[in-house]
Amino acid sequence: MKNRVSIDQLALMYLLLVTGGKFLTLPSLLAGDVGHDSWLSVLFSFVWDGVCLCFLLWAIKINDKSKLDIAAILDKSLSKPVSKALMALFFVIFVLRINILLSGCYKMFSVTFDVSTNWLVYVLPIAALAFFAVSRGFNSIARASQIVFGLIVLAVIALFVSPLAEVDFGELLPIGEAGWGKILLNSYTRSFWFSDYIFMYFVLDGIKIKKHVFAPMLVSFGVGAALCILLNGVFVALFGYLAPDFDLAMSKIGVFSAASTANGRWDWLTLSVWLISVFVKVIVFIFCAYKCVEKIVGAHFVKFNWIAAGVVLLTLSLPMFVSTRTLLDTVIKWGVIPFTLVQYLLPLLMPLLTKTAQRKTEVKSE
Amino acid sequence: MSNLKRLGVVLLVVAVAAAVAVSFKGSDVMDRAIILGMGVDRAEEGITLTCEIVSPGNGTEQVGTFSKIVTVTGRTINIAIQNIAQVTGKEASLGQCVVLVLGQDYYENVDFSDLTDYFINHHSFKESAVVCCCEGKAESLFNKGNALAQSMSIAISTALLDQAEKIAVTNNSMLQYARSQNELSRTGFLNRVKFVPSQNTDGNLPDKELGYIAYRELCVFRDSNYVTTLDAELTAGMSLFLPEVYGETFVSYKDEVTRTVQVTNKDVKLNPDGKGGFDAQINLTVRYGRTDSEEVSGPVTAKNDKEISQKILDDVAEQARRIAENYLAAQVKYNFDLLKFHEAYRRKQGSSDALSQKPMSEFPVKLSVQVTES
Amino acid sequence: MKISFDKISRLWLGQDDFRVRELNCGANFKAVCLDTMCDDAKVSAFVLQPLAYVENAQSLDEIERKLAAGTGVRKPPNFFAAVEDFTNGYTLIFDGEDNCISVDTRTVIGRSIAEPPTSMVMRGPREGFVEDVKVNVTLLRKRLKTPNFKIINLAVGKYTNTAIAVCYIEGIADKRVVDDAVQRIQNVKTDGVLDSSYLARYLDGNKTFLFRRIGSTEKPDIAVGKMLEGRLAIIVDGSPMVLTLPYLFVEDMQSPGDYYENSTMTTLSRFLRFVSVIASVLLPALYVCLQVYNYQIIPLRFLITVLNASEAIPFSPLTEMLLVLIVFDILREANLRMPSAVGISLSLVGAIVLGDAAVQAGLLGAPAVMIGALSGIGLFTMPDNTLILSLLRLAVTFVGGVMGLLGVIISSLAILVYLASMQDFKTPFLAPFSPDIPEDRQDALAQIPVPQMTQRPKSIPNENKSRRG
Repeated sequence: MKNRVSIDQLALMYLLLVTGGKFLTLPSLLAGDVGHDSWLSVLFSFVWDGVCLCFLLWAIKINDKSKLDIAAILDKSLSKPVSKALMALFFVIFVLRINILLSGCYKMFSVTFDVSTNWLVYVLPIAALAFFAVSRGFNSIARASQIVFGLIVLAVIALFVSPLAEVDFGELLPIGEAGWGKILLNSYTRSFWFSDYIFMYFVLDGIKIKKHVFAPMLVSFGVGAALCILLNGVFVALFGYLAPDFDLAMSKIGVFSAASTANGRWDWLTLSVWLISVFVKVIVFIFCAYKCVEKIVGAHFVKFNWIAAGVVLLTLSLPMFVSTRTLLDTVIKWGVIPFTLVQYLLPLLMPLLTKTAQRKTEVKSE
Repeated sequence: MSNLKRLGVVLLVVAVAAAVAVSFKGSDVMDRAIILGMGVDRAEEGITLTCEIVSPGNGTEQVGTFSKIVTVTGRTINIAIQNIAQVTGKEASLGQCVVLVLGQDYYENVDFSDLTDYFINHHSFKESAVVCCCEGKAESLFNKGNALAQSMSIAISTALLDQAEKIAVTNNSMLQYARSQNELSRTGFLNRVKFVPSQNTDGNLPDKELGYIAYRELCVFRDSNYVTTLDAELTAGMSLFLPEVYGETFVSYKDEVTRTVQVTNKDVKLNPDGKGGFDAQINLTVRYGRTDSEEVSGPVTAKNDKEISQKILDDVAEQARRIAENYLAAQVKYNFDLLKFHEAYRRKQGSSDALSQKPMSEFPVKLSVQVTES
Repeated sequence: MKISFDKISRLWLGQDDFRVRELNCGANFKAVCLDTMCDDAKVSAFVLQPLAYVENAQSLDEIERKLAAGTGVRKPPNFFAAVEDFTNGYTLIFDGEDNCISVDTRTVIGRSIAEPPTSMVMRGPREGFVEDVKVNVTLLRKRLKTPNFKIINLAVGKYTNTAIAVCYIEGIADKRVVDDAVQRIQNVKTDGVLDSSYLARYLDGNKTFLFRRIGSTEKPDIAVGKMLEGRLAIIVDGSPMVLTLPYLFVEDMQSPGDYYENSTMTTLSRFLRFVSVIASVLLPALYVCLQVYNYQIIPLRFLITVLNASEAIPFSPLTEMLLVLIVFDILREANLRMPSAVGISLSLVGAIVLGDAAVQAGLLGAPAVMIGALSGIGLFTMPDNTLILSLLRLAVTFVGGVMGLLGVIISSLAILVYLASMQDFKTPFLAPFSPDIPEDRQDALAQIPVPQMTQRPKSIPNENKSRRG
């Protein structure tokens, strides 16, 4: 009951997840790969995300009758071992994503905001917040997102509107200079940062559908994607050849709003508001990782399970042993192929799998 | 037992809070030497760094006497900034730095790409901070603060950001400059500021030096090396090609009396002609200058009721054409590209080595100037 | 348990206010009452005078018929009911066979109806609830002249036996919510309920330790307004605070006078309250973390002012701000407990001697004192929650001072998640914003004119959506 979420809440939360985290290190990485065509790379990633999202929404609609959870769907349609293997893969993706997000934030706080501390002490309060939220149920995370989403969207808009006077979008010409093949390939190799809809797998059984499924979700996806593409465009147009050197895009992009000598860096306050969306994303992914543990051990946690939380917490110490650079260059680089399975292949199959699982459930109950 | 449990939880929370509190370290603003502006000069052992630092008064002091000048030396800019800590006893902070001034000896003789790199990669330093060159030593410029009756850093940044943005060509940020040195033509410019003494009419302090900051000259750089200085006339020639800059004044004697005409609006078309050159069309809208609108212009300024004769309009067009041509000749002579000719072709054709190395002489410009009354 | 005169007289043996009067009206009857709880005139008029000339009554039924002048004459069903009546000021009349009837002779002690000091209004009714449950019910019934106005009478407290009246409008209030509330009240096991706030603790299903989850009002017009939206009003004898439930967070932003003012002005003042509450909680934290970590955010000239003011301060920014906030809280607490005349001089001492002298002596910086005071004043726009907001402010300031903006973000999110997770009586605490109920936003922060409010709020469970009957 605590994990029930309406489709409107899901849509708003998805918008936060799409915009959260994509403006930390990703824009400079993309600018390093394909230069001023990075916005095209983002565009292509979102096009593919949009297709997968539609299939997933279709599955959600089908599942409205039976309200099966992801483990039940996969168990019944693919078999238990495959289901557990997929859950393990999900767990790895979520853990890596959380770590990459947190390390981006860590860098932001230590470099931009001058907060010097060690990784463990930095992660502990965030983990405490996330587990508190998990213990209160996904519903409360969704409701909290509903409250902050307007503020966050305004902050994002304020952040890229402020440098607009300095931006010459002509810098983005000629379109496709890096080569279309390279841009497309880059969309794929950086896909780790996209397909944020994967969190929906873990709330499949709690989604309340009123009337529309596609409209609210696609609107929020469209707005989120547009903001990301625009922000990448503004970033590259603003910093030009220097864009790959600015590895914390969001903290730099608002610098011109504070150009006057009398004003301080007010843009950092809006930046802090945007950071809430990153934390919401971290909380949601920690919830999903926690759920993965639940599904892998095949239990149903009625109350908050400290052991599962401990397992997730342990994985957050990963950056203490492996640097973010190594994670990006090895684990994520080679992990892209298996990750494609759950990021891009599974959504396409979800309607079919859900129907199969439903049929099997009906046969069993008869 | 329940009480013991509760006590345990409270102790645990307090312990974690204490551990977290101890592990987070910030630098209190009082422990920081907050730098308002910096001047860089050449020195035997590397550079001399002159900093204007916020110096709190006794709580009742008014703004205007809140800063002090500190001069340090160092082999690199990083070491020099670290040395500020020794002099002031506080860690230097660049977060509020609004201006960086390069002394003449320094920018004319030193490749300062490492300096640009340092500031561009310094997260605390604002890329929007003003960077400029100065006549003579930066140190002596900063020491003229008393003559302006305000902070020199704020005076320079205000002059280049607020006052000058519409009446003179300004390169008002570190980012713009750093980008220009990495683009195809690898040329860019910085404003050249100088302190100009003015007459002291203050009877109470007859010995006090007074003056203002002048900023109508530009220094041109290629690959962070000095190329040349454009004087006020060449700078005015360049400004004619920039639609966002207006307010230039022309003086004409054609009506037997001296008339000052001011540009109030400008329409500039500077497009590649497809044959490797450029078509430049400059349409100026002018009106008589008003005594109450000196250095204040724009479409909303009140009109002068006198009409400008055709003779004067033609004369202004001729003058404008001449200074524009002078500028174009200078850019060919010194081979610098401040109007982004290379960039315009890059946007059409994409980047290539051939384009990057193309000299300015291979960009012929077909110029036409028209002047109308507003 | 059987009703017995002997038992009653044993229970009150030796009590000075226990009065027994033997009546010879044919057979022998005994009238007993508690002198301190009864009105002598009523005892005389409704019991003694009617029975003074009766000579041939043989049973209690005949006696009951003779007492036609009394409005409240009844037969208690059991001994406990008889004791309850007796302790409430009824006069009990026993026959020789331990049957009894009770006659209402309660004395009316208590203050008269006046404007409640906690919710003064510029416009609107000035009547306020008093401590008497009967008067309070009257105040409600005066405004709800409908048979659908229902009252469920309950009693709570082993020793106090406090009368509770659960009031609702049948056909509007959700019966499940009524049943749930009644159930919770019936389950209360306690020695006594001295005020409605005792009961509020028992009614809070979330066992919230921070925020209020049950509303309270001193004004009958507000209580009726809330009942018309589907809420319940719970009147507790001895308390002028009537509880209303279900309760929403947004109700804290609403003031009694809101419905009697222009809706545009109401909207503006509600936004002002909202902004000032948020600013009150966050401002000290932001000020500290900007000084400790992110002073680049502070505009240059303001920074210079801060530096000028803080140069001589011997404390760190965090300690300085915590000191200011704690001193402010001490002053507020002391002010509340002082008689109003002393309170004014206390405020003066606090403001001038402590504040000004501390700044002059260089112990506290003027900007910190100013921000502390500004934040403190902001808290009073939500007077019911001042204490808890003040606590949150201290906590957020501490976390912000230690961890910078990271701490402010984490603590704000934690509070938000906590608030969002609360739900009681089928009502989410943060409705109508989360979950988003667009129809209910007509009277949440913004308010549309009253004639346009045609629907009852969806956030509050109800059985009739339309406000048009």
